[in-house]
Amino acid sequence: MKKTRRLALFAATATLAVGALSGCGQSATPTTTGSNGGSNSAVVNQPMVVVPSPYGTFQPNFSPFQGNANQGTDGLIYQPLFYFDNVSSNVYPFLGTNYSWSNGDKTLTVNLQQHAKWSDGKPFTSKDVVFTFNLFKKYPATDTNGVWNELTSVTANGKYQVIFQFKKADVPFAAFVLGSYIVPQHIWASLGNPSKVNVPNPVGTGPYVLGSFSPEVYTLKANPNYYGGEPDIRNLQYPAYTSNDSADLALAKGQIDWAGIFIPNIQNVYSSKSPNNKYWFPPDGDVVLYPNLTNPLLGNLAVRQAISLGINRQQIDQEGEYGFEAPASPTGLVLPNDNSWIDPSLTTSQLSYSYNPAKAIQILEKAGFKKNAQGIFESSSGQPLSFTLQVVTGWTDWDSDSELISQQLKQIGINVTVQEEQFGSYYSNLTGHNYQLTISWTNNTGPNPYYQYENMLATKGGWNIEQWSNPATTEALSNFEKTTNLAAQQQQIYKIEKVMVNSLPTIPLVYAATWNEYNDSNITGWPTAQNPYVNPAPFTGAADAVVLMHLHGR
Amino acid sequence: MKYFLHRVGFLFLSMFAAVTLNFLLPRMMPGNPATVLFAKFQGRMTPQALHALEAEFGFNHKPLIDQYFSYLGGLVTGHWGLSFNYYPTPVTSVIASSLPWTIGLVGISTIISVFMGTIIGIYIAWRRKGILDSVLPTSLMFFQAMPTFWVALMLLYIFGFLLSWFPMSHAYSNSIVPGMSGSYLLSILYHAVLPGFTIFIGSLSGWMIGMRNNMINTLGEDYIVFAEAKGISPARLMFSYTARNAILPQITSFAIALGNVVSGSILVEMVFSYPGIGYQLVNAVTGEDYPLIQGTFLIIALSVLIANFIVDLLLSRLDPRVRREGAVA
Repeated sequence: MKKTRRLALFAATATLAVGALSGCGQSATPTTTGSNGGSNSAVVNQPMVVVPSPYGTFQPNFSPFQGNANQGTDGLIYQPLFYFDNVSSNVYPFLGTNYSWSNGDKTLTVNLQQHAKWSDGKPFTSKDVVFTFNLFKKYPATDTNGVWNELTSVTANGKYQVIFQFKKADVPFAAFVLGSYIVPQHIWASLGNPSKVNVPNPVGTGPYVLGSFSPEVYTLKANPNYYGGEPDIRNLQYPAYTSNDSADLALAKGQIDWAGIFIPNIQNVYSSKSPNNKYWFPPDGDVVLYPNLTNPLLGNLAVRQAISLGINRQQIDQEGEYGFEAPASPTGLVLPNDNSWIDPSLTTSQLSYSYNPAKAIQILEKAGFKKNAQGIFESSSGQPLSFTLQVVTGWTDWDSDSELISQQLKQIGINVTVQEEQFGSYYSNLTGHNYQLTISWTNNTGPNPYYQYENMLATKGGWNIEQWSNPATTEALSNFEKTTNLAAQQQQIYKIEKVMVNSLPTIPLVYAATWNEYNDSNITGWPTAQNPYVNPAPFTGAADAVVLMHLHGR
Repeated sequence: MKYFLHRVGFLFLSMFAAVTLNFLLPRMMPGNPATVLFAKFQGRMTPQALHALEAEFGFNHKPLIDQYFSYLGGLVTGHWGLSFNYYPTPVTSVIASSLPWTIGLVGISTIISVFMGTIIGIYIAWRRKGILDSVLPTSLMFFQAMPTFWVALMLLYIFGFLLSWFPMSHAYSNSIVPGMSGSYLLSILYHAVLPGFTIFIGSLSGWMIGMRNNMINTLGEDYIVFAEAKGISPARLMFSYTARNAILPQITSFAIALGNVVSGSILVEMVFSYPGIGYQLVNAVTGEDYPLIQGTFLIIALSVLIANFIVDLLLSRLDPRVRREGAVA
């Protein structure tokens, strides 16, 4: 099943998690939402077939409050105020037009789109925004971003302005607030607990509305009254596929126009079948080797340095990841997305990994480790450098990465036993810190590196499974939160980059690719490596709307 | 009557065992479904929110025995819980939307396969050592020996991908609105050809060879020789005397096969993206969707038990020996 599991789980909420203000100062400059202008000749009526991932059959559920709602619910039907993109670092306005901070960065004022209408014809106003946030408060199960941890109040100021009061200055957190999907008060007020209802007939503000539904396929059609202009791609079709195999064949045959499926041998299976079969897999996170820092051996910097030097990341990319996932940056930054955040004082050798088993052995010897009879290094107290590495069974690329790491580290005298676990036990072992080494993901990549760092390195970070707790890191993160000044924010990020490079709290391996295949025989305007205007994957919520508003017929 | 009561008693006892196992097994799996579910929130949820969600999903820390009784109560009243994968859709409606496809596809292919296999088996046993008898069993055995999903992939690749004779996936065309229209029914049939044929060809030789061997055994019985000597017509001898007696073991296997219809041909459904219960089961297991796993297992267990019960009763009509022995035991 390769990566689809991971994508299905995490991509579904990618939009909730994506974030960042890319230091946009006092107010965000709206980037155009990609209105179509006058090119009427480019309308495409033939349905565009979208397969974000093999999902099996569908249930009639289009509720933005459930991570498992059908694709298109988030972003195409319901919209957030703003969308913060992690690939392009752009901020795309949707139901908001601009926002500004005041009161020592504790008050966030948002002006709303005045021409937006719900798809049943009722106007969209600040009441709907306030209502949605009150839903989060009333039913905590829907507050999946934890916005009420940070907010004290949400109030309307007239019909088209909303004011968010924060408990303390937390500039980057605005991405989670502004990225929340807004629902209509006149419908949801009577639905009761939103986390308990299925929504078969969604009413949203987005560029698409639900066309038809069956468990095997559903369609979305363009919203003629969309305030951004009716999209040129008039019909979308989401068919169900149960496995990668069947979806891959359909993709190769040109039956799918836009997909987010993993294809192992993409040249043979897909690209060579037609010059219009294209793909672009930008990185959207890191694949990281997490050491459990409470383990006395792994808590030793020399051991972590040796492990990092003893891993051949090129081989992992080529053999484990089919060449799709280039070696990561030692800073943990996701490049090229985060290029503008690289600390200029870091040297070239600090900015890329080198595979150097000889140096790894040297470091271990210098730190007082000695090889035992089995050729495994031991500490002075006789503890061998012998670890288990937990990975999810069935995530075949990570499984083979683990085997490679085990072989590679054997050569420098570190014994690694791969332990494949079911996702459930893997996840509870990681969150319960019941592991020694593990391969896992990073969360929340956004237009700036703060989110990923905060999630991975803050003492209370959501994915600080390695249990890093370091005053310098904490201080840099908290300084970042208190400022909207780009240069000041960059200084804080630089500090954390140095922590990553010098202290190796975690060991990045390769970039995590986002899967995205598209067919440009009838449709143009796709995001590409040359024109990376937004995250291109068809499962990234509001980013999908940005892509669709940029697409035209030939 | 005594036999019937025995069977009913046995049915209830085994149902009770199945239901209890069904309750215990998922709870013995490693990992906690709650954590899997919360994984998707990437650690941003507050403890209160997690708790609220936990309560809504019905994860509670009540003693196992309490959970067991509320589970039993739910079974009887049709409250099988909400699927986690499709939350908040009830398990019953997930099963209801996928079960008919599986029963239709696998059920019909199995019945055709049994029927054809038995007829051919009777025929080649009658004409044993003829050309068909030497060619058919070996050639069909070939298909049975190959893994079903591999046959499915081959058929998909050749007839779906290369030749485009048949659709590569789904139970009906995406451009047709489901409803009681001729084009919809035709589309269903058209889409069922490849997966149905995979199941048919995969099980055909078993039925054929089983029937053939039973026939040959029966043909050696004294009463057949006697009947033949008395000049009974070959057709009557073949069907009424030999096949009728030889078919009994086939019926038992048929019962088991019918029970297995519901568990479906999971791999075939996966390969052809067929919206049946097999796919749902795999999906539920990988997603640790306990309510759905329990629901599908229960349906599968019940269908096997009930199919066996019906065949037990049927067999007792066809073969009085079974009834007597059953009553003694």
